[in-house]
Amino acid sequence: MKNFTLETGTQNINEALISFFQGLMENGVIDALLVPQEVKSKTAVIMTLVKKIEGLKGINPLAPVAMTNAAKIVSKLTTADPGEKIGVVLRSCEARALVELVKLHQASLDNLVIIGMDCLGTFDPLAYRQFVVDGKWQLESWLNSAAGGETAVEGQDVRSSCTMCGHITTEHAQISIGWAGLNPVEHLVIEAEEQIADKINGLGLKECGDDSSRTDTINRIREEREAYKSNKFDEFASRTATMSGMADELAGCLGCYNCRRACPICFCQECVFVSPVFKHEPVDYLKWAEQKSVIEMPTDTFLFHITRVNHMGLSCVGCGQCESACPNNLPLTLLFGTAGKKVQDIFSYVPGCNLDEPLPQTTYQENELEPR
Amino acid sequence: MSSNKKNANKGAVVREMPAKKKGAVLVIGSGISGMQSSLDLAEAGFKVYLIERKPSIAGTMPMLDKTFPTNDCSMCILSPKVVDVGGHMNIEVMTMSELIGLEGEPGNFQASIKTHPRYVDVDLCVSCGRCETVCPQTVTNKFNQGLDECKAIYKPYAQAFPNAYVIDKENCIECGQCEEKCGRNAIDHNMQEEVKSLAVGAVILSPGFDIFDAGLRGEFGFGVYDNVVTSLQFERLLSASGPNQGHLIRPSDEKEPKKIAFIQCVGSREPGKERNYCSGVCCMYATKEAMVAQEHAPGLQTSIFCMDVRAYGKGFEQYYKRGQDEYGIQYVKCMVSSVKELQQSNNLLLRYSMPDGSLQEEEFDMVVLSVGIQPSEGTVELARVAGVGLDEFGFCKTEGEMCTTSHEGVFVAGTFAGPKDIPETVAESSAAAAYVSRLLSDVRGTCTETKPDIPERDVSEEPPRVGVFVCNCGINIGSVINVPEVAKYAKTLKDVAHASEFLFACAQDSLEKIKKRIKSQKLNRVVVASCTPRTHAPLFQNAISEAGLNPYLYEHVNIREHSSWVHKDECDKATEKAKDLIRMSVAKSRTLSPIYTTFTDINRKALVVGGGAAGMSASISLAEQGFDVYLVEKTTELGGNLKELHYSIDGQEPGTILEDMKNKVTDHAGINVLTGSEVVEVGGYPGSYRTKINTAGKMQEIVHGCTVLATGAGEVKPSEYHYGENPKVVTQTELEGKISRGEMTGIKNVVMIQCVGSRSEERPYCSRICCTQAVKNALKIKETNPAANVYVLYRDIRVYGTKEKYYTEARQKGVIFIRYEPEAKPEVIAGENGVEVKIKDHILGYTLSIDADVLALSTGVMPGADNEKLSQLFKASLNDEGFLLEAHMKLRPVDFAADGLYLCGLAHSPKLVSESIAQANAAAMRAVTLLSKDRLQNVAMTATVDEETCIGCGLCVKSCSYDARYIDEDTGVAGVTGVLCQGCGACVVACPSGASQQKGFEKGQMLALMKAAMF
Amino acid sequence: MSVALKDNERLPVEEFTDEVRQQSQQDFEPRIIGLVCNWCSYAGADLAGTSRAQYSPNIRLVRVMCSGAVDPLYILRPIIDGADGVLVGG
Repeated sequence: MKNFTLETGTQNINEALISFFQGLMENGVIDALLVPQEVKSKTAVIMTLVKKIEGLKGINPLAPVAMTNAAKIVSKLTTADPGEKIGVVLRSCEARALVELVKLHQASLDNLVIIGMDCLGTFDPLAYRQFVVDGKWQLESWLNSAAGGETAVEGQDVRSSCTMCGHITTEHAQISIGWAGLNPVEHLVIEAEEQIADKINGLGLKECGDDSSRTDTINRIREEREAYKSNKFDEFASRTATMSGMADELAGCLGCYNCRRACPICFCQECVFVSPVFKHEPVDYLKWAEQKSVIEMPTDTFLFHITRVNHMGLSCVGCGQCESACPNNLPLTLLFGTAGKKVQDIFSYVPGCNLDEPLPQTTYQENELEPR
Repeated sequence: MSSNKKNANKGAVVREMPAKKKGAVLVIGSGISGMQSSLDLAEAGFKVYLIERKPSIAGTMPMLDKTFPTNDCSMCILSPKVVDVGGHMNIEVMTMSELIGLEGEPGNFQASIKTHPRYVDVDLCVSCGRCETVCPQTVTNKFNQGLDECKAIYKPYAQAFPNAYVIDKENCIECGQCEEKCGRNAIDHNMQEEVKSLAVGAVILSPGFDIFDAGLRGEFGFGVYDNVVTSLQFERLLSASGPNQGHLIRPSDEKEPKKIAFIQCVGSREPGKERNYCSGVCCMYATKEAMVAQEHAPGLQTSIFCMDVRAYGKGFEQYYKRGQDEYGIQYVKCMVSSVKELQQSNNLLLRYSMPDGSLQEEEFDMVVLSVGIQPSEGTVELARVAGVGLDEFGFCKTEGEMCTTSHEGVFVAGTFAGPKDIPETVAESSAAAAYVSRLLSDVRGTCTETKPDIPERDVSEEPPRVGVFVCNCGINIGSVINVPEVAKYAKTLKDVAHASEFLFACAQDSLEKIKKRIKSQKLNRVVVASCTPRTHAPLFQNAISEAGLNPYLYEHVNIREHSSWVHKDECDKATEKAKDLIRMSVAKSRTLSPIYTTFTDINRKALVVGGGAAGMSASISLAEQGFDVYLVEKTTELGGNLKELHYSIDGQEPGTILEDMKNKVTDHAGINVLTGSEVVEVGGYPGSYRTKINTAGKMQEIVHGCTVLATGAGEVKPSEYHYGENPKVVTQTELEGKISRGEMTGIKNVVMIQCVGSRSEERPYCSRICCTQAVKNALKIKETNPAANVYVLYRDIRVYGTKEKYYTEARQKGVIFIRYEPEAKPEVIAGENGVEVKIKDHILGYTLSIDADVLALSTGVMPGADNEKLSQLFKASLNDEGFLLEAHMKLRPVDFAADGLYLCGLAHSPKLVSESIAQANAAAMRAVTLLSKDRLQNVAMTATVDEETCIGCGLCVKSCSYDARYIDEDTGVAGVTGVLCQGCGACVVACPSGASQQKGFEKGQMLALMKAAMF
Repeated sequence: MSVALKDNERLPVEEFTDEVRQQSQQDFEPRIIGLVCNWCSYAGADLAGTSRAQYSPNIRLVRVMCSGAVDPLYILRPIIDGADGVLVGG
């Protein structure tokens, strides 16, 4: 790894990034770029695929908002050989989800250059939109305070999954755009693998050393968040230790399956829950109701969530997109976090961490069924 | 039948004029041996008549509690074979029958069979047990070895086949109550014996063994003291189906024993008498019984009194070690001189002399006599009728190779040919079948029947109409479960168009009624609630297919084993349970769709890897059974280890055997010998393998239906006792070479050290052959140079079976055997002048020093160096020691878990040449059961893939243990190789989307059933 | 063999039947579903039958071709529908 300084003092951050990406495209590091851009009204930031330099105009990758987990989009770009090198600008949760998808044969890293960026969390898209509409949004000043860990804007913080997330830098990145623990209004740091570093050298960036205060800040924030997360997990676990407690948490499920659509790992073409397997006859509902005096309608919502935990809990990277997609704000990050962690711990498996580590459901350990 | 050139010609000849040979076989004796021969032959296209003297088949194995060295439940591993024999279309079982005459010539015999009256009609009896409840007469229960009693009308044991009662006429008082009680008119007290003549092409004799009558060894008090039992009685005491339901209590006072002694060699190894043989199994079964007893009663102490511990089979030495280390079994190497009962306690006082001559006394709660095995009653007469010779012990004499007798066309297998363990019996029985198949290959398929095709009704457009049939099973179900109420309830369930009850659903007339109802009521799903589907579902499935329904539109409910029998005091709850189970199955049955079995074509050639005795024998056997063979040998010359042998213990000439084999292999047009060749790549699946072979850099791909691995093993070259440093120190095989070259004349002292490369930390197994080899060489030295002193330094002398007599002979001829313990190994000082061997003699109590002119080390056998590679190429397992690992240690000794792959010879484990040849024939026979079929029927309930839904994540591929799942590179979705799929359903669970399903166990079907479970 | 859910670590599902159960703790009859492998546990249950072993009639056995073929749905479905336990034998 080699580090370079990307000066932002004389221009705004996005202009600096445009010229950096332009450089990457021009000297052949990448042929195309998947990168977030602002919509015209600036009220939203969406993923775009840029093939020509002029397409870079509206990029805003560091804006703390993500409509979707981009791993799903990368999957679409790599199910077969795209024939060109694609740079993909990803947050940690996206890169980790991507690695899980690769293990599930739903994506490939072969023609990718992963360009990671620091992420201190993203806002709920509606909240972000409201900031812009109310004229309260200023990227540079947010980055400045967020770089030290202060992410809330007027009491409104990033999404709950992000407040519990200690993944600030992006794993698996060949090039990283760092700003956490820095003064992003003055400069960002570009970290690149040796091979790519040679080409970046040609962009006229200054090589620099490791910044220990950046590392310290990142570690501090990570620790704070991990502690916060384990608190939240414990709270949730005790809230859901009883059946009625868990039922209460999930009571609002209306069976829309938005969560599964938003999930980067849920890759099935057709969810088993929309298949005929879960089609009941009217008399079945009445029989269930008779059996238990009263049942919740729609049925199978609990079964659905637990089955989803079963199907992809091992690979859950905690991006929280399911929760963001839920119209009734079910605490899905906590559900998947607590349930997923338990089973991940059994196999000492950290999803998205290591491409060579096989999915636990494809391996067998003699002790895996031991009671614990 | 076969596609190869020679056979096609022969086939044409057969069609033109009536075959003189008969494609039917008579198998006498239905223990594991007879059953194995019968199954192999029936599967290979021969009609089999299986004759049994007793009222039920399966021999001794059902009496055993567990089997060594895996401690598998004996009945559990056996019963699938019994079910296979009982249900096989081309095996006709005749119980209570014996051979009384045999005429004709090989290929065309007339056999006269006398069938004694059973007094119960096997076809009518449904084994309901009513007769037994009214029978006033009790008799000794032979199955439980006289430990308890049964009625004069009895079924030998619960799982017995035929599943029918029998009357012990000698003890029957003919009161007629059973006849009155029988609801099916199955009992006929006036039944007469019958004689039947059968035309068969060959005969296999496998009448099995009897145990030694322990009463003949009066000093042990059997029959006098209650707490002295035979080992077979002890098996019954341990067994859950035994007289105490597996609760280990001693006979005198029903107390749990705290200390048990096993006395070995009761009826075995008696020099100079007619029992101068080793029974071969007692050391291991005593170890097993001691282990199992300790598991029953923790804290139990067990001692085994023996001369040697003969743990010579595959995995036995490790089992013996486990017995010592993990269970604390005491092996006391001395013989017991007497057993006396102590009056107060009924305990037993054993008197025995220690190796140093001192007398010891020790008290035990119970004594188990490890009785030996002997030719079964009536074998002298059988041998006379069948025209075969017997040896001095009364076992069947073999001529040339094992299994062949003095009467051509009559073969022998199992313990009738000498004492042996189950896996050897099974292998030998397959081998005997192979000899038959070689003799009758051109009339294969001429006497067998195939199932007729019945047109199937298309029910896809019909709404479900379920028929429910509830069985009373006489009183077995009906006395606990309210069957009429259950049937009435079934009628109320959704889509149930018909529900009724039967006294016996499995009776032929009931099956006819079910077929009629299917037609008259237009039923398209059938649910039968009776006993276990594991034995009875095929019967009903067959019936519904005869009525034009797909046999998989069927659900079976087990309300006997799973309800009436286990809740007999809770009639209401058992009835409720039956209703629930029926409701669940009806719900599932509504969702069922037809399943069609798929088939795979078979290439009728075989690949044999390894050109030693085993590989060549397998090739000859396959070729003579009519199938072409590729024989691949790594070195440039055929022969393997057989080249190193110069004479055998029983007088055969290895050199002649080798030449004979080589000639046959090279002369047979059906055998393609590829020396200097190696297998480098294996692809395909059973029935159609594609294998790449490298012959001196030239590659070729061959297509074959199956593979036999006969890759041999090596001799250990030791690193101790100055081997390789001093020319006087040689291996046992090198000594054999020296003897045959006449280099032993004038030699004064020969010392042999046993277990040099075996039973050590590095190689924890026993090499089985070294003791026999040492005795053989010792005798040969004594023969050519009687003045020579031969000392054999050993840990246990493990000559087994009838080879014991050579050990006796060696001692009589003055060969000196001195035992050493692993802690006090012999010391060898090799100087310029000679080799000095020092050994502590336990009997004399001082250290002997011998000047050895030749020191021969029995270095044992080590697994082939290529085994690791072979294991990966052929996906064949290896055991901890590096030998190839068969599918099942006991009952599938030459099969691998995967179909189409077989093993034999030293690659399997150390063994003698004759044993390798028998095993090679067994492997060839097993291969022919596959090669002789028209096509391979795949498992019916395989996995399927919905290609529309599948997204190719590959989880199914990774979760499949059978290599049956793959991702199609073109479509990117998953597929199933039907021939490999075993229908376990693991891939279906792995599939999150439900694209993978298991036929007959689809998620929707299972959830329909689960849903119905709760309401 | 493993019991899918033990009393003290039951999945929190049956919100409605909890109270009912507390009221009638004495005559509580658990309803148990057993998912058993055709080759071993189902055969074991058959053996229990042939040896006339007596056990309580609260369990309903469902035959599967391998305990590896037990989809977690087969465990969750009855639990959610009111079963008190699911036993998987294989």
